[in-house]
Amino acid sequence: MLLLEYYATDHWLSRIDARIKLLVTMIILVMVLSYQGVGFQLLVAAISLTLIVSMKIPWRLFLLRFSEPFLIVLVVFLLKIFFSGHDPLFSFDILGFQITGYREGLAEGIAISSRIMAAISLMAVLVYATPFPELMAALSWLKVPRGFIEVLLYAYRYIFVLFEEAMVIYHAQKNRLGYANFRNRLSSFGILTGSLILKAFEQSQTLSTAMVQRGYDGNMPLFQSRPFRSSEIFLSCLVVTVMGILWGI
Amino acid sequence: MNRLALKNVRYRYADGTEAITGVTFAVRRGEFAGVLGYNGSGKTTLLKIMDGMIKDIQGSVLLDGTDIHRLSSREIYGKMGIVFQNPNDQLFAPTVFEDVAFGPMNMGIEEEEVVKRVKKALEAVEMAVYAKKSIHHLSFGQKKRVCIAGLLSMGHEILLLDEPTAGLDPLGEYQMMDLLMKLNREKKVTIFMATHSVDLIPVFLDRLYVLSDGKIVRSGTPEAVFTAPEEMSQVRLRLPQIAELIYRLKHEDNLAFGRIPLTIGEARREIMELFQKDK
Amino acid sequence: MKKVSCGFVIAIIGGVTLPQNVAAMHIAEGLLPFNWAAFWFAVALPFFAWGLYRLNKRNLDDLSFKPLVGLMAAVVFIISCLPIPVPFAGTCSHPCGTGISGILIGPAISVVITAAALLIQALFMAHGGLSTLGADIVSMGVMGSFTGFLTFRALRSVNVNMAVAAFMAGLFADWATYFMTSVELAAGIRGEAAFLPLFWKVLIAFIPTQLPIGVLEGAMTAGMVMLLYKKRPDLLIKMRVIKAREVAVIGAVLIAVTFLFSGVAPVEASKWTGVDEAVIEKIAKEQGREPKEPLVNMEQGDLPLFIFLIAGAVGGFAAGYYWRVLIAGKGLPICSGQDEPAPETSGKIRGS
Repeated sequence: MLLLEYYATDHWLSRIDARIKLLVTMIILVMVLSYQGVGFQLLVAAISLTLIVSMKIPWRLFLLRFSEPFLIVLVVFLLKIFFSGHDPLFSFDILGFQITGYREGLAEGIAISSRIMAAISLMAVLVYATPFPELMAALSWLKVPRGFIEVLLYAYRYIFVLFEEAMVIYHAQKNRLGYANFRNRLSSFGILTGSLILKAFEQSQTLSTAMVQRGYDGNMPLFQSRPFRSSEIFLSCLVVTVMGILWGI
Repeated sequence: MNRLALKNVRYRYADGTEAITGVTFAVRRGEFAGVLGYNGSGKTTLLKIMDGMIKDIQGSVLLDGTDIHRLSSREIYGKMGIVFQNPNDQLFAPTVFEDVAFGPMNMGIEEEEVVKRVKKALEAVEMAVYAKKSIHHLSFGQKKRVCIAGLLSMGHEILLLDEPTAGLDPLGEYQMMDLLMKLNREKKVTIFMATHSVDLIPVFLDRLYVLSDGKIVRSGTPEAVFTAPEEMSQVRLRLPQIAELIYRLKHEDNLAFGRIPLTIGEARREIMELFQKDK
Repeated sequence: MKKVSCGFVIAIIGGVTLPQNVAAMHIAEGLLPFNWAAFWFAVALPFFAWGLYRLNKRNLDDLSFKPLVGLMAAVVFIISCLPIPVPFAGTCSHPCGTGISGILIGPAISVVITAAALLIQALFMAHGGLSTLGADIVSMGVMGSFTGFLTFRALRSVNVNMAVAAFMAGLFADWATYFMTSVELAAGIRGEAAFLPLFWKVLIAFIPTQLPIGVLEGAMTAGMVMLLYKKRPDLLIKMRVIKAREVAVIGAVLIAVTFLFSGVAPVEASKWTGVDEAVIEKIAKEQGREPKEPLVNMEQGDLPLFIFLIAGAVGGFAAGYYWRVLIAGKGLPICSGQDEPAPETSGKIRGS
């Protein structure tokens, strides 16, 4: 759960307007995705990782965040090496089966892996430097439909409430050997998730009555965004231009 | 003057059980009143009826003299609001500031004014330093304060509170009651709360109603309500502990107490008087 | 020789990647090149827009609806954070919960729910990504929700037992998601290579984890629906789940398979009753009373569940075997989940 709410509070990036950060990140992300090659990707990954290190993110969080994408990179890499291309690079025997790795596959694998690395570290910078509510405000400024923003806000708020609830039930079950073997682990899990859904239903009822008495009419009011600072606009333009030139080379 | 009056209110749950069976009473302007009752006596239902959330009732609820069901929800909720027992039921925005701002924003107030109101409301509940915090980082008691601020920021004059002290530690309980009393005395907020914590009531409440089986069985000042333990245990309640002690000293040990004190301070005075008489 | 070694390598890749379980469902950030990412966004958009439209419309009648959708997104998020054991693979995995939200809230709005959960996951846990959000919405949201919903409705319309219908819905929702993810993955990474061979390889590489997870997801979905049915049937009526509607006529094979273990289901249905213990315990704890050990510890019968699971696994695999026959044969919306629902079907959903 820690993953969900960690961000660097005192880093200079955290003080920049969330809308600017979001826009710049998205532009660079598009550049990363559409770049043919490895150089630009590695550059983006290197800059992002440097920024992340400078934010002093705890190692555990960092590893947790990157562990899953790494595994995906591994699958893609293996799939590409062994099944793409026709120019054999190496081959070896295992138990009488001949396995061949291909040159083109390796190259494509490296390209995809570096793309993933660049993209995930770029996103990590954005998330580690921006608190969730600010990110949501930025999304609404980008004209993401209000209904969806509202759903996201409720979801974010109640993830913590429901998670606490889930943990109470989980420990209650565990105390009485609810997870002792596979069979009752499964049934306990079913009860747990079912209770969560029930809770979601009931909570949404009380929540809406509480909201109605505070004037809710079906749309959550959102604050208007404040004007940009010119220094931030200048900085973001500079970053985008420099990255654009590097991308073009 | 009566701000909120209930006239012979009856209510049945959907399954036919009678929840409220003929309740008549009134909350006066500037009063700090409350309803006392055991779990399941219908306190929360009563509060919801008073707030106009439960509509299919018999009898009438009058807000400043007008039947509440003839008022629009804007008219009702511009004046009063209910604070639920579980703060998670009513805090839905990600940060404290946004949550408290929700009400005034819905009222269509300008943003600058909203910011001012939020600040004032948070100061009133002593939570101003937490404005930027995420709700889930707050303690239970802090969450309850934010709930109250969320209603105060709308300019509410009547607060209905469901078990405001439930789930708080002893100091938290005391601070919560102290906060409510300050709101009552300084900001002239009329407060009506449902509770079952008998020890705190006499210290703070002006007027008290005892609810049992959906009926008001006793009412009046705390002194008038807490008279004998037998009567209270009939409605699954008890006297405040200090009162119980003095009551037993008086009736079982025949000590010559004049009346039954309800708070530590009163009891202390009574005991000192008794000692001085002995000397 | 070539063929054999192919299968062997795939098995190795599958084996290597067993611990990564979530990955099979979410496409990681940056995995798809720009044009594919944009394509999947374009595919997801109409469903998402339809879901938002439905959401806003329903919120007019019932102000608690948007909060409910937000809370369901939170539940889907949490469900996908909780590990459950996979017996065959010896590892932990988690279901995705889109089947159940499709059944309860309706497939279109379920797309919005999934999108919300996915966006939060992408941002904070790096499960999936911003650029691959479109692809993930298509595979988990659209495929999962619609397949789950249509399977459930179709089976209910021919009076199949509720638990069985829910089981099949969860199973097919999961497998449809897995199928779609494989399509996206293969298309996204193929480079110069041909699509179909790579697709089969991706599909096979994930079989060791995804087949059992599908069965588990089915069991979970059945459990949740039955729990709601027991505890709060009024909610199911409110959400228009109970009233069965004719959505489509399903293939005879599917009926046969489901009838095969519909007899087992009532036994299973009596299983999911332990919630009051859990809930009461929580309430008691809130009031400051710790739970005591019961005097006579009556553990709920696990055996029926186990039998049901085995039956479910057998039936599930049998259904899986006939799956392709169904796709090739009738091209019905429930079976060929990758097809967009036929117009008259969507009309029914709108009305339901």
